[in-house]
Amino acid sequence: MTFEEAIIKSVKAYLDGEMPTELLGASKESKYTPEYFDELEEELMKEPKKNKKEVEDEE
Amino acid sequence: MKSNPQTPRAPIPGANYTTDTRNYPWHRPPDITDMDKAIEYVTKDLNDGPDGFRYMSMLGAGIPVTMVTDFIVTKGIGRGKWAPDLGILAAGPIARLLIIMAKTYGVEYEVAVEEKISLRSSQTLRELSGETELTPVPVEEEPGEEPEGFMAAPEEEQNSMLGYDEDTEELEDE
Repeated sequence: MTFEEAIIKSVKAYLDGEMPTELLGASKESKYTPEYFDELEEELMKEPKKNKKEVEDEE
Repeated sequence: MKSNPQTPRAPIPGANYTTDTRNYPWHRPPDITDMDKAIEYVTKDLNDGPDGFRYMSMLGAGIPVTMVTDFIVTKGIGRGKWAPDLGILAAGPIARLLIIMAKTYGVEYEVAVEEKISLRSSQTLRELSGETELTPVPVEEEPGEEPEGFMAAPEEEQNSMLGYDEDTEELEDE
């Protein structure tokens, strides 16, 4: 397996919701779980985009 | 002043104990050994510097998320930030970060986890970004090297040197 293939495999596994279990067993629990990113994405997509005029009005 | 011919050209025994070993970043222990810290480093890099926009342009130009992730991971290894194994482990969250960033900026992206990554040439990227039209570059044929020695000799001479003559060739044909 090449390095590129390892990266693809890692990305695919993570996007499928799998976490590197061996790593989690060896160290403290990671904050950046797929659930964390799901929540972050939801939060960011909810935020209405302010245009320049709105920002100026607020100031 | 004449140089002493007795001076050795190779390192003296034990020189490795006294020389500076900080030659390449990846030759010394990595700065980051924790996955969370690695992701925080990438997040900062994406948000604070111009790199984030560069990666978004790459995604917009059709480079898959997996390849951009590969760039980021390899860059970190090259700068001595993390070891290759941690880089591979952090690749998933980094790809997810890129996807979220692309969605926020409205950049179209492809993940490409199924197919094998193929490198795109700079000309293809220019075409995808609509910068310039593709102009075929004429390929000039390089002049071949003049044969020397035996190969430079005329065919008859070559045959005679190899022990062939016209009579034997004719016999072989029959």
